[in-house]
Amino acid sequence: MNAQTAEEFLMEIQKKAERGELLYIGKELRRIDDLEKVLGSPIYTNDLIPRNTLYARLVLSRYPHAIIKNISVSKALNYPGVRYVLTYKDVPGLNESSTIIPDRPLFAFNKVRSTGDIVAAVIAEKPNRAQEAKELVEVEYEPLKPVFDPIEAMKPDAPKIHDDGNIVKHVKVRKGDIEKGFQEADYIIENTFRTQHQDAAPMETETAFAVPRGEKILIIGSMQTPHHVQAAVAKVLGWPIDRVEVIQAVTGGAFGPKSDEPPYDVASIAALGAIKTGKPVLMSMTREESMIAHTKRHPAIITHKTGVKANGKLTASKVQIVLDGGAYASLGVLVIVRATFHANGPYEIPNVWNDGYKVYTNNTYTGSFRGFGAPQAIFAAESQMDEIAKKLNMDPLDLRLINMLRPGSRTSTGQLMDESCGLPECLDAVVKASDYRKKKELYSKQDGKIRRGIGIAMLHHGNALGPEGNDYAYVHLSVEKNGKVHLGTGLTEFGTGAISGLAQIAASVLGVPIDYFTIDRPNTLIHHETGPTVASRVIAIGGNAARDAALKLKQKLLPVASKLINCKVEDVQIVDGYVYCKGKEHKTISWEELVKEAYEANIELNTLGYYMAPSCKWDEETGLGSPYNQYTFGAAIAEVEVDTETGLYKVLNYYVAFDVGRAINPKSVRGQIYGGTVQGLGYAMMEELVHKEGYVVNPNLKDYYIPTSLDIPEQIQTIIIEKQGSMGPFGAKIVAEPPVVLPAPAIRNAIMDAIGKGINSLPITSEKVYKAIKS
Amino acid sequence: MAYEKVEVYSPRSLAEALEILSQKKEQIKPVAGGTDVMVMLKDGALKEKELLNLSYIPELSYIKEKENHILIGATTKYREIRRSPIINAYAPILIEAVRQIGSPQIQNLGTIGGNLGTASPAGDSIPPLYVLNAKVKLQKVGSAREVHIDKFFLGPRKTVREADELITEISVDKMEPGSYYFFEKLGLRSANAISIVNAAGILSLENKTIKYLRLSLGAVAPTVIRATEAEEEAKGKELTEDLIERIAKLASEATRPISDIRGTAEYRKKATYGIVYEALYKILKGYGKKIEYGFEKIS
Repeated sequence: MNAQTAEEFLMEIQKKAERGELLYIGKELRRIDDLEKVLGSPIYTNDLIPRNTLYARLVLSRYPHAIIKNISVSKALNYPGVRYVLTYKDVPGLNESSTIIPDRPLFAFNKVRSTGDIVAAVIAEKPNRAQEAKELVEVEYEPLKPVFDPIEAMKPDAPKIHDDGNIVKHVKVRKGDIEKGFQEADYIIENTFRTQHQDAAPMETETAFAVPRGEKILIIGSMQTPHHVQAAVAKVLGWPIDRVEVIQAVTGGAFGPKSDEPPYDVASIAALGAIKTGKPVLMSMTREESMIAHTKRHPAIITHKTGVKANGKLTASKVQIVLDGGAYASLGVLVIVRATFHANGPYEIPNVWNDGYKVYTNNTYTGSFRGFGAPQAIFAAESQMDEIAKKLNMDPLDLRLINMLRPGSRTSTGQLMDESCGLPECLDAVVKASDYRKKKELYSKQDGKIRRGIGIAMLHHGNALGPEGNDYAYVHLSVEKNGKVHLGTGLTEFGTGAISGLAQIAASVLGVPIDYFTIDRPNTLIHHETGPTVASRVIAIGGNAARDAALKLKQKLLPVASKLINCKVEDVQIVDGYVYCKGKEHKTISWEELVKEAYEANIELNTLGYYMAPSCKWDEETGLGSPYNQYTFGAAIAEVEVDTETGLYKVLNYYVAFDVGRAINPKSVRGQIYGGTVQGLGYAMMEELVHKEGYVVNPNLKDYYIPTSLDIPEQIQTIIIEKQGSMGPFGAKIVAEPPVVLPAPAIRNAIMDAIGKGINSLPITSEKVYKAIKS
Repeated sequence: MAYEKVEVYSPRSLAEALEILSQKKEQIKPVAGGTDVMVMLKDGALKEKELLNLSYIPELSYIKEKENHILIGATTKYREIRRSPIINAYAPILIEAVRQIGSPQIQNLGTIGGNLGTASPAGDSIPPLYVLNAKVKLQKVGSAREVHIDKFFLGPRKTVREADELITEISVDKMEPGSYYFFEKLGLRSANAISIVNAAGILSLENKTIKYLRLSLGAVAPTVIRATEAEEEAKGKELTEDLIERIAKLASEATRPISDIRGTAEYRKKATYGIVYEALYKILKGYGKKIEYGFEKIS
């Protein structure tokens, strides 16, 4: 046997990939799961519910901050159709529903800290019965003094929301000598930026369906990370985790909150209800429950102080970020890490001083949401760049060209950018596509009541988890006797197309068409715990595991093929489902024949691929080091038209380029860019979940506005740049999150170009634009 | 309490509906498309325990001409108004407004009578009715009366309709051939948005001189209002940029807005100036919409 080693084979595949010879990489294949979604097939959790199911509804806190004196459920229990009312007393294990810091009970017991706190859950035969009986759960409160402003909450004498102070996490970056940097500057520019609560508004709300199964419980639900839900439910039940089986159902949008604590709540409540009643229980949040009780994007107050020389060179950047964390820590303690590390934007600045705080308040809690701190940080950083350019009387493009990250520059944490830094290419692409220089010139000569403007925003985005946790993944491949390939993993599909991308990678390595693949539903009983499906990491991390599994499978098959077609192992070719010997393309056998032979030779076609990213090193005190293994880069240019008499504006065109390393499926990449752009457009222009004294004023889709098709620019031009990264398969970088980041600063800067004034708070409503014009 | 049991009466004729109403009076809520009432029901904001469903009364849904008027049955859906050749020919301003109401789904269900019954100051079909001199027909057992649209609304969600009366018909004037018209709306997004300010106007020009301007404003006072001072100012004058500025200013001064999560009172007042200015400016510059009907056109 003269089999290639895995390393040799890998090198060959890499070379092929570089020459563009891999069959399915870079191809716009159809996604494996698209047809049933387009047909509206009954695939979601709510479609699976049998007749004897009971329904749960949440009793939420009436106060943003209060002591609970007493809870009485007897009236609710006597209401027709009600089968059980769950409170903290019914939790046999730990009354806790937290990700990182154990600060959030599943059911409030001694006090409530926000109006999103769950006090009880009514289980009834019909959803309306549960809804009606909610009002009969009597809770006696003693209101406490609340605090809603995170800056107020940071003060030592502020009302305490938990036992310790209200600053739940403080992240620092200390690079160079900040005072020296300001001394070297010719100008110092200071500004404060504010962002709002954004709701992810997935089409499907948080949903879990629990079926009691003797000693075990089965949970089917809408979520990003079934293994985390499994552990959370087991903790609440006080059971070993193997008695809890969690299946991720087809999930109708997630965007981050479904990787945070809300799926723990619905799964735990459905499970407890099912155990108490012996019946299946569906806990599916209403839109109102969801918008009050799930995590949202953190509002932020960000102050920038920047030193710059008259020639445009940045000398110092001091940034403070305060995130309104609401009542609980959630994944927000990691959100502030990403926000702080990206706070200065994609620029080389010798002296940096960043402080990021996640602060408790009595607002509803905030956490993981597409972008994970970057939308706030980059909105502020990129708005600040245009304020600096204005001060210097310099084109914002030139200021960026002087300072942006390039191969050889260092980030705010001192990380060296290698050849995979595609930021210059991204900026160049959008400048050319938009004809920026010409339009800038043209728009500077306008008068009249309708004005146009053009604005730029850019970003770097640390890939995958980095400082947020161990970045590993398992992907399981098994081949049936008929040649069909099963791909199984605890990583989940919730609309991104990434899992199809895993199959595309495995198909490329194996040499069989993607039609041979089926993707198994993620199930904690079957699939390995594989870390969370977050941080856009499925392709970059999971893709390596898929490639590993496919390589291992191929190692098993090549010797079989060698014997079968009488060919040296290194000459065996598997291409598009056909197997032949190099140079003898006319004599082929099929993939099916090869697999059949392997089965007959008693070779197990079952492999587990694994990948663990290199660990990231940085200093906790100074933030210095390399917190991420590789970066995605992006640039966008927005063009707006502003009506100066009403402040109403339209985004006319949007040009956006992303360096994604390598586009495994360009159609999916563009899909992520379009979707992220539209969600980012909503963040920029209209979305705000308004809190008034701790109460959500607009927890429904009639008062909370997300963009409709008519709000989308006529042209969203996407450009894909491929500067291969060191970590992802075939050089791939992550793409799902960064597109949501750029619209807000690009639109803000375009409006500033049009009206001469910057708007430093989101969302940019026509009213804010009007006030800026008339001020 | 939300989801409480509600009883629904579904009469098959107007006579039957009026009979039920005469007995139940304020205990029953008339409902047509349900695009407002069903939301109130779900939010627990509906005080009535019974619904009078008007969906099965064909005689309440029609659009017909009568001399210089158009008669519209109360349960005529927005979609039917959009598609009506009669309205297209004689009152296109109504189409201009109706196509900006909610989403296609809402237009498929919502009715013009329902919009009047809900009496939101931000209702988008209402400002055009003001400039079309609409009259609302209210019927009860044994009698009927007509109320001019100016007198129909008393305040937000309040009208002169008595508990035993039903809105059965809206009659509007046909627009004069050659007149200009507009419906402008400012919302937080481009579609399916509640108006922060809206304005409807009909401008009749003779050469360059204004014969009359009719201008109504929505979402800027407890009811939709006519900007009468602005209308007076316009009469008999030549349409110029200066005049447009004065008209827009008077329109803005006529408003009495409130602040809510969609916008502040101050902004509503100022934006009124902006949308009125732009609408008239478009006409001045030759981009205005103009009604040009003749009998040959719709035959």
